[in-house]
Amino acid sequence: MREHPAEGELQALLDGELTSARALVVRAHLVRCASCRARTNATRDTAAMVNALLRRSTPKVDSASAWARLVVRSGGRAAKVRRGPAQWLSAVGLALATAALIVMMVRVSRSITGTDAFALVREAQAHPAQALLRDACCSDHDGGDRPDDGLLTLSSVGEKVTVVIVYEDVDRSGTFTHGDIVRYVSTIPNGTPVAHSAR
Amino acid sequence: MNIRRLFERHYPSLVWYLHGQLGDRDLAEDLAQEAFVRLIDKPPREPDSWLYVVAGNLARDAQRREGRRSRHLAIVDAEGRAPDAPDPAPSAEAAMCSAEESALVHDTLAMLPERDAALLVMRADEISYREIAAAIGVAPASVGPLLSRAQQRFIRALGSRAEQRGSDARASG
Repeated sequence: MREHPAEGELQALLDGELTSARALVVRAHLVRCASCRARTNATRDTAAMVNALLRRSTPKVDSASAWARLVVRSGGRAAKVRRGPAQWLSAVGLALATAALIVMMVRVSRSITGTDAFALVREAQAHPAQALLRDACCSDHDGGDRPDDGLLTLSSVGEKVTVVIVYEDVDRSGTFTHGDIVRYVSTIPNGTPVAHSAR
Repeated sequence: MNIRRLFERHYPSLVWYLHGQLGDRDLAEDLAQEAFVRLIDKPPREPDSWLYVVAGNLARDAQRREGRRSRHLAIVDAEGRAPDAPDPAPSAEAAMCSAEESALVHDTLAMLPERDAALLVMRADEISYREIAAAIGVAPASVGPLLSRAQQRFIRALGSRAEQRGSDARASG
């Protein structure tokens, strides 16, 4: 860098607003140039003084009553935390991903019978020290007209989930019971349900 | 978008910025509130700088209205009608000059061009160059030079304003 950086560039450097490449060039110049180091210090002092004066002089505002006025003036809408576009997108994305997972599970589960799933659950209930059952019912992940998708997990000791059962809560009991349609049962890698292997 | 968080962060600075533009604390608070109501109505992508843009527009509208009102009153006065009652005495807060420094800074800021004042207040409010650039309609690379010049002008104006106050005080004492 042959030319000396302008005050504005030094200001941007101090504010961390230069690109990293440009900041590197300016910093390299400052190492070699005593007058620019002095200018940088002066710029820093000026900015610090101005900012300190401005911040100190910001009027004292009764934030609580000002906020209360805003809540009234906005008809209560100010008090509601609103979702921005990014938050909406992530919420929608999560819902779509969950729905896709459920649909995928349903397709994979064609050959698995409900009898197997109930056997697994009975095994787990018979050996509570070896397996932990968690039954999350019910959410509408498949786009139907009711929240009917239940998700039951079976964990081995150490909380490692080894079996996942997705079911439809046909009898609306809010839990996995006979009469529900089993859509999917996972197995451990060798294909043997964990509850059976514990036997 | 958390409105409360935005409010707590920017409301005092917005009030101050508007007070500097308008010289009327109550009106400044009213317009700062209006800026937040508009933000709630139609949330922008970059609310920090957007608030200053809207506040600046509201201040200009208010100044135009005040200009029209003053011209109207001047005509009415010329026709022999009694002028409006004078503005009420400054509030206790303003009258107490314990905040002499604040008053000096406030006066100095009001003397600066609107863009300089906005730049300085936004930067003191820790708004990024990119957002400041969007708010005042310049390229982000221009913010550093503009800010640097605004700071220099502010320091010079502050010095001359302080000198003027000192000589006024000596003259009256």
